[in-house]
Amino acid sequence: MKAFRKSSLSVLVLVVMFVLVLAACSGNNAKDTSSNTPASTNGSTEPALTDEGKPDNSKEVKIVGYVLGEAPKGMPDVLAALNEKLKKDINATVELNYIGWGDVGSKYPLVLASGQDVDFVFAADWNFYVSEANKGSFLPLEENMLKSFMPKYYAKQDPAAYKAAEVNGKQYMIPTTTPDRKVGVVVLRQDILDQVGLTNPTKMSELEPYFAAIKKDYPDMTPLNLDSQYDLPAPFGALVQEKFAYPGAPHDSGDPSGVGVYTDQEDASGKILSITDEPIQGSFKYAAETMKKWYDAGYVNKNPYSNKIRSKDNFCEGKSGVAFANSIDVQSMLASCQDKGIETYIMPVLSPSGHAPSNSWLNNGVAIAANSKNPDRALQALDLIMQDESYVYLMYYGIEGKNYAITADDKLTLPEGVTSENNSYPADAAGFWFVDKDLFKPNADWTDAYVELNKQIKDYLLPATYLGFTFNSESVKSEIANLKNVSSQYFLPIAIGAVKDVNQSFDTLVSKMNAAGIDKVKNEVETQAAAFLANKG
Amino acid sequence: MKLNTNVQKGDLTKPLQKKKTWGLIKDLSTNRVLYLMFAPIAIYFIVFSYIPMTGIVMAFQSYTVKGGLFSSPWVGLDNFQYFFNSGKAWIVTRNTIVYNIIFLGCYTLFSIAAAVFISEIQKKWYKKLSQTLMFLPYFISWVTVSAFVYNFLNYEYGIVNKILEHFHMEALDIYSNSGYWYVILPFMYVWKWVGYGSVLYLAAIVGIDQEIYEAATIDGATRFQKITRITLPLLKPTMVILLLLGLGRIMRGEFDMFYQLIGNNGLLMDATDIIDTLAFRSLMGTADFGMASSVGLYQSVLTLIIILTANWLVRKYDRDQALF
Repeated sequence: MKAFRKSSLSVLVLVVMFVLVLAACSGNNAKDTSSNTPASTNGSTEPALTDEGKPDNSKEVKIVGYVLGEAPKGMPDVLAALNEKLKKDINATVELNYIGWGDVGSKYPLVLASGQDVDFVFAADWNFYVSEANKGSFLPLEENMLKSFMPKYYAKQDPAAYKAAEVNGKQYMIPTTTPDRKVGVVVLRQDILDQVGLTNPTKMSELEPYFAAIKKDYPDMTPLNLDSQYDLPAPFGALVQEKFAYPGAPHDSGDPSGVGVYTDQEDASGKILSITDEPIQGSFKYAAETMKKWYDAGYVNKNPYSNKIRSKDNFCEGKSGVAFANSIDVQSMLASCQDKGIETYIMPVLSPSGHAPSNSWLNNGVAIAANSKNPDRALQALDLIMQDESYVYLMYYGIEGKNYAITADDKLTLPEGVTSENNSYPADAAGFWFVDKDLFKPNADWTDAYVELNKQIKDYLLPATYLGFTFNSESVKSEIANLKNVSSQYFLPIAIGAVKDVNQSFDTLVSKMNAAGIDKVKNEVETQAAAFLANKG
Repeated sequence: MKLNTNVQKGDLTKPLQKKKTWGLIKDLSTNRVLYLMFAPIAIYFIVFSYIPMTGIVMAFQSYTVKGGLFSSPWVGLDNFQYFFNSGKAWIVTRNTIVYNIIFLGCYTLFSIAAAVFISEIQKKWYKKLSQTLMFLPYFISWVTVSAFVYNFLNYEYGIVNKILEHFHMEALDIYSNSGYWYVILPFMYVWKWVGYGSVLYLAAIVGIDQEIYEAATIDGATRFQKITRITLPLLKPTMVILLLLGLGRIMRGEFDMFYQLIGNNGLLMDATDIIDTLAFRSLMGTADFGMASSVGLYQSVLTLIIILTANWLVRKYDRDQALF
């Protein structure tokens, strides 16, 4: 009897372990099937409408959203205000989660793949939109869904934007109605410009005496103090822009530091070019030679790869002679320089014809997760958040009187006692970049140079031949992965000028790109691009 | 000794073979307490190591959210293509193995040295202080380390170069020359891990019977002799076990360290690229689970081969110290 009890106990342990294993497996299965059903049913059924043609919102729901960045300190208050409004308007509340910048690459795909509770998620062509759409992470959107659940949005949006958002013939993203109107800018110090007698420079290559003066007279300042992400390919790109309308990034990756397949933005025929074709090769070599000259002269910091501080963030501290930015994110820097008494000169980065490509709709947008349980209510909430003025101000600027105020002459300013440092909900910081920016008022603290720049931007922007074209890299993803790697190892040193011999490094780059399968990628881009142009008519 | 074990083994195998099925249950019942104690760790490994292994199937699939793990389309070996076509598979595999062997060697050597020195220190406060200071780096993340390494070594205002300048010497362009990193990387690795390793060996030293030392003292052994003749030989079993365990991680490069210290620096890449950094860099932009798991599988298979080989060698040389 005793022996039996002994053995039964150990058998019990075995059984428990076995059950645990089974439970873990079946748990997976159950989750899989349950996450599949809503996606498939929602995709096929017609939107649920009541008799009056209004959506049925009788059941209260919670919508879970994910956006990028960090939650501002004032987020709980803003969220409370948002939920109060949403509860009243569509009987729903929102729970908001943030994916930090450092984790975007790993966490964003995981949030979507894990089947966890998520309804809407930030989406953009620069943030895995095409690869996630290929994987089936997003809910395909039909025109009648947008029409019935997002009436304000549907009324405003250009139908071409829906076309642009299509991947394999289906739209997965709700693109912003107001693509950013921005150009890349180079910010310089007016005092040093005056010192070397440069008046109104318009080209990167004209700045050599400016760099020389900094090198000579300002020992603590590095003329081009580049960071590892944004700035690294920036001066190279600006130099290439002097020769032809460089899109800033190859067509197949959208990554400014990538290599691959290019096009001339202002070439109406839209010929697809590789790095050995003209004008790419000539202008790249010109830019590379210039960068090498500057690097050897000590105008460029020696190891931008390890530098994580963007030049725009230490320009006003006198650590960098040039700040690279775009006309939107440069705002706060200009204000901060003005506070320190530094006069700035803004030089937009333009093509030889004086233009810059207008931004695609897909630059900022939002998508519904494939597993969303309440896609119709999420769409309604997004309609309000993106297009309704009171919602837009709440999500973008915070609470009136606490985070922003409106002056007598209808401009935005900060309330009394609030400064840009202690504002608990700074504008643009909450990750709601896809709202309707036409509703914004001008800022009271914009510098004259910035107001001037903003006036001109309209004239600079030109729709590129391939505006709205999104390359689907699914069939060449091995090649793209290897090209990314080739780019890091062989292109980036050329871009900062840290190579011994430009021609020789260029040859190495080209041979490595060939080995990585650039021809296959080029063929694929050509096929898709031709189909896009044919469709456009 | 050897003969003895053989005889025992021969005696035991016969009855076991007769009722094989009942053998396990009988064994479970006679040693139930031991098995119970083992149960939590078994469950831990089943849940966190064996069940996740099903994820290997992803390496042969084109992952879709809808299909999940079990019904995504199969693509054969397509996911492995990029790694082997990158032309860097050999370089990074070599780098991963060579760096890890150097790391493991330096780590073992310095940990043992530190443990022996600490155990020989007589002043208690000094012993505690040095141990604490050595352990401290273990708690600093590589992100922080990369920031201060950058501030030490960078060309324009790094402390090292400022000092060199002060003595009118040429500044070193450390971030563009791979040669320096063959020294810096093992140094940083040892700096971070030596405190942790020395604790393991110190524990082994404390476990050595004090009477052996007393006897040696009576026989007139010097301190140095006591270390070389008593401490080090008795540390050998611990060392072999830790080395074998360390080999288990040999294909997993210290990713944090390489990624944070070197990052995307193309000039250093041929000398400092390991499998993990290559995979991370190429797949960050595509977020392709299948391709990422194919690299993971490649690492695991190589690790398995290395462990089996190392264990086989140890067995051949000294059966008692092998892992299995």
